[in-house]
Amino acid sequence: VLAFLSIIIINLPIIAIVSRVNFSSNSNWKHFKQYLLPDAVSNTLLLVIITLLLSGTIGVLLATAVALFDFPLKRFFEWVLYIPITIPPYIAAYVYAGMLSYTGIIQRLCRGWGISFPPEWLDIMNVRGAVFIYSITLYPYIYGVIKSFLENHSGNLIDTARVLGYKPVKLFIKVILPLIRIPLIGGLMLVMMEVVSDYGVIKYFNIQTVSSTIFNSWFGMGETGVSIRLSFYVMIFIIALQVIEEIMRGRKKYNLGSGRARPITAIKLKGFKRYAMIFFLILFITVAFLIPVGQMVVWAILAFQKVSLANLSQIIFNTLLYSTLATIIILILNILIAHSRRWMSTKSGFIMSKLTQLGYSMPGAIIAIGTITIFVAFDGLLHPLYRFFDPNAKKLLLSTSVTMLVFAFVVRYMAIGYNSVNSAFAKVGLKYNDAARTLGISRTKAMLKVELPMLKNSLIAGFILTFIDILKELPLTLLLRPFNYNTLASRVYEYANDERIHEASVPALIIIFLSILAVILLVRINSRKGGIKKK
Amino acid sequence: MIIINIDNDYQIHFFGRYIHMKVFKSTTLLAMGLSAIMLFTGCSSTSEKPSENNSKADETKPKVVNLYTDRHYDSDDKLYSAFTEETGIKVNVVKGKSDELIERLKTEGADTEADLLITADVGRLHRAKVSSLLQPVDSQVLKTNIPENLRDKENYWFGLTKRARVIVYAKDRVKPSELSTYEDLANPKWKGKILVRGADSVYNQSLLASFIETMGEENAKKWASGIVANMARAPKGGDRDQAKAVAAGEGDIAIMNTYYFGHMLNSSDPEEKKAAEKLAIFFPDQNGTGTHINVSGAGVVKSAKNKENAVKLLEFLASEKAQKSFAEANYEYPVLKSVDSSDLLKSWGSFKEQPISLSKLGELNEKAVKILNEVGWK
Repeated sequence: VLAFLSIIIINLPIIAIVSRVNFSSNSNWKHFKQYLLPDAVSNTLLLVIITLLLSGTIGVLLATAVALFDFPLKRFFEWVLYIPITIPPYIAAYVYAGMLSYTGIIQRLCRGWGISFPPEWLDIMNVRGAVFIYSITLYPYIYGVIKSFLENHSGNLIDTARVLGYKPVKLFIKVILPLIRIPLIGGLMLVMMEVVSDYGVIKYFNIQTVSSTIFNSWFGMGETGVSIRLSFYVMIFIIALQVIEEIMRGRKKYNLGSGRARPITAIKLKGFKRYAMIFFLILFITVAFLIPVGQMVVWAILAFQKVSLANLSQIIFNTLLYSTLATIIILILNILIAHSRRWMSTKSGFIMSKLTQLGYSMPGAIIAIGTITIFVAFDGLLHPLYRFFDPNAKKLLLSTSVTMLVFAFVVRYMAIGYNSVNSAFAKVGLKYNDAARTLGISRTKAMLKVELPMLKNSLIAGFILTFIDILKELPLTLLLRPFNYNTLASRVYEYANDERIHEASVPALIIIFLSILAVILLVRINSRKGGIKKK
Repeated sequence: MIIINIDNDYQIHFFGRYIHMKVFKSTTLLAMGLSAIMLFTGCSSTSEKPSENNSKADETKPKVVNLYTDRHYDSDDKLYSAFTEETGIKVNVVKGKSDELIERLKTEGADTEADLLITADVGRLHRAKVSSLLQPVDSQVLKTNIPENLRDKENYWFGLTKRARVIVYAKDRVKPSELSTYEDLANPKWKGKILVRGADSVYNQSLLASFIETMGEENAKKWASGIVANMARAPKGGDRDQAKAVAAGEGDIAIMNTYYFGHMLNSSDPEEKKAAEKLAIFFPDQNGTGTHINVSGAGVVKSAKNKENAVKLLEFLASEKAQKSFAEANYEYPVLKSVDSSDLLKSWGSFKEQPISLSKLGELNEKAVKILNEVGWK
């Protein structure tokens, strides 16, 4: 019941938006259809498909490599590979474009050495470049989910397959790929929604996509008709994909084969393979993380004096407090929903879980407008109540407070936490709960006492992903924040919007630093508890 | 929704006791959630409560003005604190993108807390005006300080800083004598030479809107398609990226705003400085209609609860002190005649401005956007 209630509440902004959809074919829509639609759709599809392929491949390969093998520095790589998720895609876009530009380090070095070549060679500001940026910043969504899934839930199967003499390649194709299908598709969905609704990268690279058209026609032309209709179609498209996915998966339900989820036994790599692995991982991390961050450090040092650091601690505090709060709310709601979903008929459970994810498929700014609409209406309703407590109370109490922002965070980012939570619950199935129930504990208690500890790793992964995403969130914060409320991301925006990327590096680095701290902290908690359990 | 409810009833039958537990749990959770919300709003309303203070207009309570702004310069923040020092009026700020702030104002309607809206482009001010979000202000200070063509005819909004959209060219490849007008840039002799950013840039939209006004819609469209044909590459990046591409030799001419060039010349990256030094600025149409200018400006919100304070802030921003800071910190041209531009801007020389009323740019914005789409300006 509570699950249903919360789902309805978080979908209010979307309902507010959808209720404004207008299908009449007016002149603006015709204009849009004639001149903008073909480009927008083909670019979006191209971006999404290639990004999914690339980030999926990277994510799965890395996760499998780390889960299956043991090599020097494994522990280090395990968490370092999460880290690129801390770089907001639009920042990576600015940084890479800056480095590869005429004044960037690469062309400068080449000029210094007298090497010359056409500048188009280094042009990253196109569809290819955007795919590259999305893939290196978004693959951890897949890596994280797959890795924790493999480590926690597949030990038996993989060991069995090994006993049967499967070589790694065959093991990968025959056992791992089918096994990880559910979390993989969930992860891919996240990446897809992230790409579809992203606006920062494509705006800077000036690529015409559905999302940029939504923005330009709404905010640029003041035309709400086209953009609402368009975001409605995007939403339908994403729902349709999910329905297809659900049908393809059929009614298969995996429950764990034996009583104890055995952690995977990692095979020690030897000799040449070992060094190849390390070399490859280092190379990857360099491209995806060290290079852009190194560049930002250089820029930050250059521009440090020009950056106003007033209220920095206040800003950091704001950022952390509300990200954590929203993340916790999201996690609780998600546990609730995933938990109760298991007893539902497939259909209603499916509808419910998809409803939680709608917010993520729409561009943030659209959600923001929907949220304001709801809160203003809500304030109107509650105004008599405010007056009851304080006769002078203003009308827009909720909509001028941080509540609105936190609410919007929850609406938008439910999907991220949901994926890890749900795939974990789905994996565990019902039997522990059933067993606990025969011992006379209630279902809810069984969930809290028995299942949550079992699912801890997946939950932690969900927490990291959600927290970091909210930390770097931009459109919602910009639009919904109350007066004098700044976050690190909004500071980044203010500089980047003026094309002052050097100055923007300072707050951006702080975001990355905080996210890294979060990752380290959670990895620590994770491994310590894991150790205790083994004993 | 109906399906869900039916299913839900079914569930209740089946797991009667379980659901019962959960209903109980859910009410407690709900109560907890509500109290959390109360706590929140409680916190924020005690720490901030901007409007409560002034709806009473009580002298003993602190005076405030609430600002929605599209300008993100640190120097602006300094100006606001200078204003607070001078008048005792606290400035509360929400920074965002102008289009989205306008949308927020629309949604909040008569209950909005905002008193003053600042945007970086005149088209947006005009849109706020026609969406009846602003109210006219009758202020002698503003009338004397701000030239007539830089403010709304009916005093709904006022320009505060000027920027010109100019030609920046590679010194080693283009002679200034080859350059003349914006119109000339559509000439096939510049094929593959011109760099300019995308159609979504409001500065391009306003530039084209000004041509619709000065040379008519047909000619403006021809001009736009001429530019598209002459582009050195598909438009991408911001204004600075166009200048860099010229320095790199991808093209010879960039169309960009003056202050971006100013920022490049004073960049914290020495390499960017060097690149900018290879380039020079040219003010087009000096013998014709004049160089295109745009303003960032402000208007008082229609349902402002602190109108007086908003007007005071507006007047302060048009005062000599504030205008000087605009000129120095962001390489913008002050609107106040008695204030000098910064040394850098002075070194570029004075120039003749497009004489059209800036309100027109706002009115013609939608037409301009459509033309840009039609001619395939990406």
